[in-house]
Amino acid sequence: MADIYVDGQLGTGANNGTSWVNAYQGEAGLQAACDAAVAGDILHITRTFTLTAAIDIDIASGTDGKPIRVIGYNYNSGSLVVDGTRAVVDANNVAANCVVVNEKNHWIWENIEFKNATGSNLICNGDYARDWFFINCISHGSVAGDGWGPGTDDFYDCRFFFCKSYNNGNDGINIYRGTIFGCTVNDNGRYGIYGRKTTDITNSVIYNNISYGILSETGYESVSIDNCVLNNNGNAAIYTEDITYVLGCRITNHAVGILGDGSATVFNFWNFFKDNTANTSNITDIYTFRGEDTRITSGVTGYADINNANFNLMPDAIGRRKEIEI
Amino acid sequence: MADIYADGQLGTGANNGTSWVNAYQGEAGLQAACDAAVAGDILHITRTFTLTALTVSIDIDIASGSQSSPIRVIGYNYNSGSPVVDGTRSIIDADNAAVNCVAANGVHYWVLENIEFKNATDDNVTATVDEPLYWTFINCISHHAVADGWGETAAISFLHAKFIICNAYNNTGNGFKSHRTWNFGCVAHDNGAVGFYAWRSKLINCLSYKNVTFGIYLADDHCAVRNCVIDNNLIGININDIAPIYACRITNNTTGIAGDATTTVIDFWNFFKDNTVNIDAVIGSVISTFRGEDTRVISGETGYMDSSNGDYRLNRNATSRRMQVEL
Repeated sequence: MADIYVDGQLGTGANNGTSWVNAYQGEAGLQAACDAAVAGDILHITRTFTLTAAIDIDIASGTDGKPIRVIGYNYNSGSLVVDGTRAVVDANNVAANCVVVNEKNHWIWENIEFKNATGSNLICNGDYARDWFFINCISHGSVAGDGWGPGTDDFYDCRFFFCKSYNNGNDGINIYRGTIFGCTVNDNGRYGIYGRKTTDITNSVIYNNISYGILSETGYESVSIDNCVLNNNGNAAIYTEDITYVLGCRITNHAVGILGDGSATVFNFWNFFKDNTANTSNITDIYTFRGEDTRITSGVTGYADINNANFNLMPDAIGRRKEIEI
Repeated sequence: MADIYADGQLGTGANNGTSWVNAYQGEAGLQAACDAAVAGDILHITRTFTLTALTVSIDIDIASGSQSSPIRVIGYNYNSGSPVVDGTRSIIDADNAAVNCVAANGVHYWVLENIEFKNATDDNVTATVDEPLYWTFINCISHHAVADGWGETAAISFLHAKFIICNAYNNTGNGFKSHRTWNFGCVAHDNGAVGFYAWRSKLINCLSYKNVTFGIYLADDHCAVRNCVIDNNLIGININDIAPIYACRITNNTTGIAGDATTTVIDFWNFFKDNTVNIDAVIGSVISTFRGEDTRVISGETGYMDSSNGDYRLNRNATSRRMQVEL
């Protein structure tokens, strides 16, 4: 299990990845590091990598017990530190993608910013990429594609922790059988989250996306959404074509809160609806628990500062907490 | 879409399921109601169905619901003859005679609410022959099975089942055992084997305690455990693959999280206390840092209200009651 070092802007040293002083350099260096990695390795990367072509991940997979990790560092004037500051992979409106994966599994990316691809910032081609984790990553500014998108195949069983996806031309996160936790997805050109196949979306904020905040697609089993804030997405907060579980969410300022295609059942429990033209439409709506309607449709929304996208709840917000006797 | 009525203890009326007065009666009536149901129907059931005459399970193997029109079975409080839905559960009692309370075979999209299952000589609720898909259990309890609370037969299990605020306890085998499941707000305790035995499953806001082997067993990939309390099991969580475990309270287990060299654990914002070992040293990879900081909390007050009586709410002194992460 090796440590491999990569610096997007280094111009000195041996360019062999053995230390920060001799780190792999720039775009070619990042590609070389990814090609050199084997299961259990850690790639330590810092500063900005400006691309002319996508970084291809098509050589090695991690394993269940030995993922390949890519960790972004704060350059910190040469005294590198992991503090959440992200290394940047910038497609610079030139490269079609920042990262293209082809059937390589078990990679974990932490503290990385992806931006400015002419297509999707990250895609999966060839065959699916399985068990990828993204932690504290950002994807934004893809011109014609997604923040995280499918290519010819999908990211599969992927997990997103405290990631952001915004201002992408198409969808924020296109996910297949994954987990999204604590993420922010906003201002994307189509859907915030395109969710399929038992994806679960929790503790996330999804707002200002042009079409749907979340699309739960048909034929891919059920998507579950709990404890999320969905605000001001263009057509609906959630559009569902299948059974969908929506629990403990705050769904505000939409034409329709939860919209179906006529074939969907929604388990609509403990959600707060406010300022939607219609709270639900065209779904089979199951919202009673122990004989009581669980929905809250009045009271103070209570976002701390909606104009600045601060969706923390003020003390007077209705439905801040719920407690259910078991 | 019809309403069908069944009463476990009614002895009068037409026994045709058209109203509470003429409700289907007893275990044969419940079987008849399940056989009669089609997509979109609602079975309203009340009181106790004791499975003594059939000495086999209620078989659900005739009709499926659909995505938009599930078949619902709703338990009612009998309420002195004026049945009402208030969370009181109708009871299917295998009476230590029937093999199962309910056996589902190849039918899909059923929703069971406010039902108590108990006393089967094997699993209380089981899947047989052909996997039942997309079942949802809401406010259901399963206890005192000789095998599992919710189980499988010959490796046929409920697939894509969802459990919302359900409870499995005092089963000789496992509490919940199913495949590609989503458990929300569920409790498993005092089971003879594993509390939650899960393949490709998500557990959210669940509680697992005093189970003899594992509180939670993640037998395959694509699992996640979030905001759960796992207390006083032999092993808190046993992982067989790669799994994120986050914002959990893992206490009083011999081993908090166990695995092997082929296991990766994303161990974020968990509170560990009074485990003999918090994390098994042989686990292949443990990732506990976020933005460069160790997210684990391993000291401070556990703060359960009254764990000896199963009350795991947190008091105000509890360490790490809440977390807030700047986005």
